Amino acid sequence: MNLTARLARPLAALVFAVLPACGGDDNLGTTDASTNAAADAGATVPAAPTITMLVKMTGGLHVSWTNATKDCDTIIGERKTASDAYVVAFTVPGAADNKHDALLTAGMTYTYRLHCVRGGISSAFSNEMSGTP
Amino acid sequence: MKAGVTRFFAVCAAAGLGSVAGCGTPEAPLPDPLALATAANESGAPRTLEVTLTAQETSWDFGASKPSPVWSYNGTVPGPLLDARVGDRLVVHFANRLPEATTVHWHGLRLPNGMDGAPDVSGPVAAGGTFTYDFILKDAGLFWFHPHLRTDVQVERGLTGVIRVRGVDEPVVGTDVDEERVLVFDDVRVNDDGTFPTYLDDNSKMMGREGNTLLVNGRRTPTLSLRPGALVRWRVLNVANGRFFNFHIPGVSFHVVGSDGGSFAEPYDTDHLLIAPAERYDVYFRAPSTPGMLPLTSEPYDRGHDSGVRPPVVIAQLNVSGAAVTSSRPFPNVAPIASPIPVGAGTPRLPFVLAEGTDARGEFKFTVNGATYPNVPTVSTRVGEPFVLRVENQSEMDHPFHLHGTFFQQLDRDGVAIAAGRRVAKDTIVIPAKATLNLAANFDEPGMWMYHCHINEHSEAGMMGMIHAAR
Ligand SMILES: [Cu+2]
Repeated sequence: MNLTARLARPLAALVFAVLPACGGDDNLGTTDASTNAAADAGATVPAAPTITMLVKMTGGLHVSWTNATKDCDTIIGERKTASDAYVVAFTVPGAADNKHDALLTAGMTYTYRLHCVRGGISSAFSNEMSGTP
Repeated sequence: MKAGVTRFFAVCAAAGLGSVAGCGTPEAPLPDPLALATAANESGAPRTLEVTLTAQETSWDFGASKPSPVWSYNGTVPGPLLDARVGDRLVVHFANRLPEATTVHWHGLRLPNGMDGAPDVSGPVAAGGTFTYDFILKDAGLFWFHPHLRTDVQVERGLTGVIRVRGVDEPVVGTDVDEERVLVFDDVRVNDDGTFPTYLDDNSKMMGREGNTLLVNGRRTPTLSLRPGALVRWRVLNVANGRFFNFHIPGVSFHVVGSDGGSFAEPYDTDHLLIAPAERYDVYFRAPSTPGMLPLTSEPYDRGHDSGVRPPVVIAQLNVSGAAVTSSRPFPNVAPIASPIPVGAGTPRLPFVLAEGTDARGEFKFTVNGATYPNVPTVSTRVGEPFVLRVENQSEMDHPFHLHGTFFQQLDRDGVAIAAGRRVAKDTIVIPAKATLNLAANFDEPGMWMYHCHINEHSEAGMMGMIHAAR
């Protein structure tokens, strides 16, 4: 999946904002974080991830992002609707860069944000992105 | 073995070793780094290949900082190449030294149902257990073997091997072609330290996991040597879990003569060769006449969910070097193997609808006729009675559809007939997103035969079923 695809196929899905750098990868897959950050990172606040795409897929929304910090322990995704506050939608391993959020209501608009947690310390929140399944 | 001559030229020429001892004569070829392992024939009986095959934990270097803890057949990734002739008997003494149950499925081979390695037919081979597979190789072609239990994990970890079954009139290396290679294409996802990831992300569940390391015969981005002007035969196999390869070599046209278990009555030429997981192609091409390095790339292909706009990836480098070949051999004529399966108005048609969705927990599911395996209703046919599989793909992505126990021949796509010269005996075929294919088939052995998507994450997530072939 890739930014260019979104641009080339505006009807395909949704709303997004994107970083130029997120195209061009080969989707070579999520691997496990390679270092034990908590031990050597001390009290350093990790950098926040960046949401790159929100795509309508099989009745849900597929969130993709880039990780500015390579050794997050977890990435926590939050979502909200127009009338509600943010709630945690998913928690995935720190090297993950995508998650499908399936159990959504068709036609409702959802907004997402992410943060990275490393050694018990949270990053700031990512950018927000909204979409409608 | 003629291939030894080929290896001599390739290796010695590539290494510039013409004057080194061992490269002066074809009798002493150097090892080919891309040579597949073999398995010793333990039988003294004519027309019998009897081997020991052990599934075991092994270390394998994928280029990470440490070797990876793979699961292998006989200690190599891929496992051994089993070389036989059509009509031979194959006896495989299989031992499972993995920490979990497995089976060996003989992909593409027509064989007795109990030899098929389908766990729900003949049972799994428990950890520490053994099983003897014993059957006749009825068809010529390039086939392969792999587990059929936790297939997504076991194949990803390295359990694959190749069977080359020679036909009676195969082109001879040195006479009809200058070189022949069996090339097993794969990708694997490993962490920096060589271990396998423990978490499977949703992209991988949807598309099938694609690796961060591309492999040819178990080697990462290798260099293959070709002599300028050589007529080359490649028999290619894709054992990746989810990746489709779309081969391209600048300035080279592939002459495609066969696929899976058959040959085309009318071979065709293409500069891009798409090969889905589990498919095989039999291609010839002429190496460029000018020495130099050329990349073998996999070019973008959209198999759904916007997968088609990624950049090309380099799979291998081709080193065109050494003494030029001036024989200008023509492409060999290859006789078509399969005769058309007769289909008429009264031929039974079995509908299969492939779809994708999510279950009540929000996990992806991949369905056949609205259900996931093992809850997909079994459909029935009779041995020796042709039938048509009508496979409709309602999902947003391609699925490589595989049928066990026999071959099929594609009749049409979305109502447009396939030319008779392009019908070939296939066992795995891409059902493109939103497309419908009619496939004619005919079992010659009774039993419960599996069919499934060969994106291994999809079959494990439900896109699998059984056809009962009654006597
Ligand atoms: Cu599939």
